[in-house]
Amino acid sequence: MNGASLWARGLAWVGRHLGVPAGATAGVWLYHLFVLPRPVQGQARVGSMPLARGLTLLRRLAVALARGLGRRLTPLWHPLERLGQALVPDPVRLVARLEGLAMAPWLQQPLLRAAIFAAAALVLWLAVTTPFSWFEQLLFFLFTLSLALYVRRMPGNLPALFLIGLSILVSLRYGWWRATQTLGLESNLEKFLGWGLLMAEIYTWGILLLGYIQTAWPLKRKPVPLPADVNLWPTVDIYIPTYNEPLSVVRPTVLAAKGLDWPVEKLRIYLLDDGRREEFRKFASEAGVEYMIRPDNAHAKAGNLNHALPLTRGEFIAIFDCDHIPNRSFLQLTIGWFLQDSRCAMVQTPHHFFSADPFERNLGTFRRIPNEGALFYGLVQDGNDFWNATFFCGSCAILRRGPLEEVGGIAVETVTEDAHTALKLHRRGYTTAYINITQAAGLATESLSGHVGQRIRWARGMAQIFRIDNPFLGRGLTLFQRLCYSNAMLHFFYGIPRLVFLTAPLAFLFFELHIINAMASMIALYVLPHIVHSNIANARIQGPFRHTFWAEVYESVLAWYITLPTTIAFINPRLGKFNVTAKGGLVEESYFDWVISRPYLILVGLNLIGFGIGLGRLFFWNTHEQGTVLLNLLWTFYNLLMLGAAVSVATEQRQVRVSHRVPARLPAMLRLQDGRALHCCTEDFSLHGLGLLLDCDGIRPGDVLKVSLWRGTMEQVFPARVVVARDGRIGVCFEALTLEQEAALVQCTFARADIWSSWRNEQDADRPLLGMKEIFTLGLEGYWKLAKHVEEGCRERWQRLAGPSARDRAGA
Amino acid sequence: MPRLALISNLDGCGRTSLAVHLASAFVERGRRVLALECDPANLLGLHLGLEQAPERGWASLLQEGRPWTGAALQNSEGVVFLPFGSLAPAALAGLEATLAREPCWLADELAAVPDLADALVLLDTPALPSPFARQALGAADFVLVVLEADGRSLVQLPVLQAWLDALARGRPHAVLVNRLDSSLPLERDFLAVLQQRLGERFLPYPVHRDEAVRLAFACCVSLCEGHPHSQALRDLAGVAGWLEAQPALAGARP
Repeated sequence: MNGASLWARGLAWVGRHLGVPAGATAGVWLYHLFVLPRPVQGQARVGSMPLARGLTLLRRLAVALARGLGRRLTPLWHPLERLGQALVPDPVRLVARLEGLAMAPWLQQPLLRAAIFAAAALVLWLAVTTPFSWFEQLLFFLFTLSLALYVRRMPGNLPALFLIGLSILVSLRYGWWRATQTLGLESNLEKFLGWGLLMAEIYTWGILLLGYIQTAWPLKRKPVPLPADVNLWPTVDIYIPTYNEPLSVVRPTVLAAKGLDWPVEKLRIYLLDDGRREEFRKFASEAGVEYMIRPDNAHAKAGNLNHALPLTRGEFIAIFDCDHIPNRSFLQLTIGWFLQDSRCAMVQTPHHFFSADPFERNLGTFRRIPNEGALFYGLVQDGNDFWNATFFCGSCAILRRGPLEEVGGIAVETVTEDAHTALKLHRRGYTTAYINITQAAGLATESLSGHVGQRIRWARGMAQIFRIDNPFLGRGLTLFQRLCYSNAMLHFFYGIPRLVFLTAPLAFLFFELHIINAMASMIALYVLPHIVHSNIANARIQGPFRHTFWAEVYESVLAWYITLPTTIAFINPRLGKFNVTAKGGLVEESYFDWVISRPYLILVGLNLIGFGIGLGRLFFWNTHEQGTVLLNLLWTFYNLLMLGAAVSVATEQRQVRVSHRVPARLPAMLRLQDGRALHCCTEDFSLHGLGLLLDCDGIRPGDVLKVSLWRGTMEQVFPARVVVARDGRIGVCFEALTLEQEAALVQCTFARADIWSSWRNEQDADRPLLGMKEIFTLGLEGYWKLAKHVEEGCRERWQRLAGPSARDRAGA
Repeated sequence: MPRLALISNLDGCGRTSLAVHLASAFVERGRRVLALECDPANLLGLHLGLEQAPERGWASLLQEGRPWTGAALQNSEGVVFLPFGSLAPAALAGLEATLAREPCWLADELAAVPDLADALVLLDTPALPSPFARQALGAADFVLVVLEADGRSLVQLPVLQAWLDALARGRPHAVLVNRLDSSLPLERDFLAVLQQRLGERFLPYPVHRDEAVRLAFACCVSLCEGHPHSQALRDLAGVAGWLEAQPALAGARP
């Protein structure tokens, strides 16, 4: 019995129960399903209503099926688990012993190692290339899957490497099958599209593999303590470059830099103003920092820094973007490595943002789900550090003057001067280090267009470096440094492949083109293991820094925009210009960014039409290849969810606070006008006010009082006025702070050494299946938001159209 | 039986109320406490909840030739205290003369009291150079010097040091700043200078000036009961914790 006749029979059976006559049209079906059953009154009639009857039947069937399956599977699962426990009773010890074994001296002999590698390569070759029937492939998948599920709970890095190995094996097997069995395509168009899809897949395999190498063994470097003798501490220059940012953004950064824990005579701060603004000069002289301008703006930020380089003398140069407020402990934690390792040219610390980026704000995931940067600063840089390939990220970093001057200062050939500078340093044999302790924090980009603009710049710059100073070519780099740099650059070419994946199923759904020549079931049996294993391995390695499926969300949103810049930069690296990311703005009203989401709306439309056609082909016409249709439908559905999330990001949520409030529990004291002093603690802080947790009897809005905060044992007092007081919470805003008070405020809040340390612990843990549910809801939410804005837009347009005619009538 | 003396050479810097609230803080931390008033002002009882200053105190009992510990009282918070009692001027002069003759009188008497084995004894004193303050200084295991963040304290620092060298030689001490009004820049400056001068001996929890302390006294309630959110209470808890961590004051806990 083939699929079509089975489907017909099932349909007839459901039809009988619903009372649909045989051979009814779709309209009649819909009528019977949704219209005919009226609201039920009274238990007795439940059974008689067609829909209710059908639903009850379906539910019973589902329950029976689940029970039966559960009963069948549980006895199967338990022995498996017991077997695992019997084989490996103490996984922790096993892992420790294996790690010890890997380091054993007899294993270090080169001949033996070569033999082991050769044997492993042979086994791998066999496992990858042996052709399997569908049943054998299924067994193979079940075997690797149960291995992975068992191993993934084991602690340590070795199991992670094992999961990586399994993932590589399964993906290679898929790749081999894909390359040898599925490319017998008929027409030239199919060949073109099929090969295009294969190229996109090869790209993602390559990036997957490079990613595994890059993060195989995160170094997690600890800071080195400084010598007790302060005379041995070096001199440091702090560069704070600025161009068009408002002074209010720059002030806290400068004041925090002034408060860095370092001998005053060994610390000089330079405000490098490319905007040449008088108010900045005034502020610098009031704050007691150096102010520096230059005659032109050549090479933007890199040029600005290079201009200051010969005019200053510090042995070390710390660079902070003008909105990155450094913690007081920054120098204490970073300089130690320079003194320990004389070849060390740069120490980088993470970039941290205390405001929500557009993704976090518009999707409501702030501080719940790791953001786009979390993977890079949480894991990738630590992984790079193991291979001595830590990148310079332009801010929150410190460089040694000598090596920097040796490579000619900050690189100016590309728009990502930071990564290129690090590359030049590495080529000269210098080392770099990464200390994964947040030591500065700043504002995230405000709007999606700003965020996209910044990513475009990174993508373009990386593509430029790839062209003009390719890490695979040239001298001075180790193999793994080359691989790490390549991944960082190639990673930004995801635009075209992502768009290919977002549109590939449409080729079949629209035009019945077969771009993979294989049975749908075989495709599923090969591609699912590849997807499942890479997700298991990545959930294990990246879990705390990037949740499952989120890479797809981030990439889907940006894919369209970075495609063109990367392609252009790849073709001609000289084209393109530098753009500064605007910060500190507001989104006064929630709105939908129609301009930026246009490509996604088109993709949504295409995918929706494709999905409709697919549904039709599944049920009504041309139903001879339902398996393939189903597979493409699933793919399209997944794409629609991703696009829904992209649309959701484009709905800019309202953001009205002038300054961002950072949640933190700090001890505080209120001195009231009646002489009482109340102890309390803060709920959040900003540069303009505090939220305090306090039983507020007797305190009313408008009251003037003094608030104390502490920096260590140093108490600082700020004049303030109560703005709100209710429900055990008091909001105060500061009144006209002097410059000293402002500096003290920054010292007591943003610049505290440990203020950002707990952020990561407060995030949800990654659970892949839950993540899938979350992506599902996010996608649907996107469509809901879109519908709402379409409706609003229509109403507005209608009112505009109706407006003049109404006036005309009034005039007549 | 560790003994803690609150000493100062400044008048009216809040020793008595500090002694009272510190006693409460120690009781709160589960410590047995005896507050002993070495001050003829006879105000301790009022601070600890009595409606009027008691006639009967350890000094008056001593005068009558009875066991002087018989005057002990306990308030509802569990603070045991020995008020000074009211003494006629002539009798006071006689007591002062006795004390001047026997510098170790208080130390010996306290050592002879058997019930105090695990209790912390807090000695409240008048300003130096009163003979009562000198007795307390001689009897203390740990001297808590009370100052304020003002010029007076700074000037008196060397004088105070001389007293400590003379009478409390070798015994540890710390300097506590009381009634700090941190909203006044001058007080913050004096605090910083004191901290810098004293170094290790500076107790890092200054007690803030807080109207709640006077309000509690006026309403005859403890600070903890009447003003649970007051900064002074918080500071005192910090001071008590800091003092408890000092080896000289570590006693057997109940």
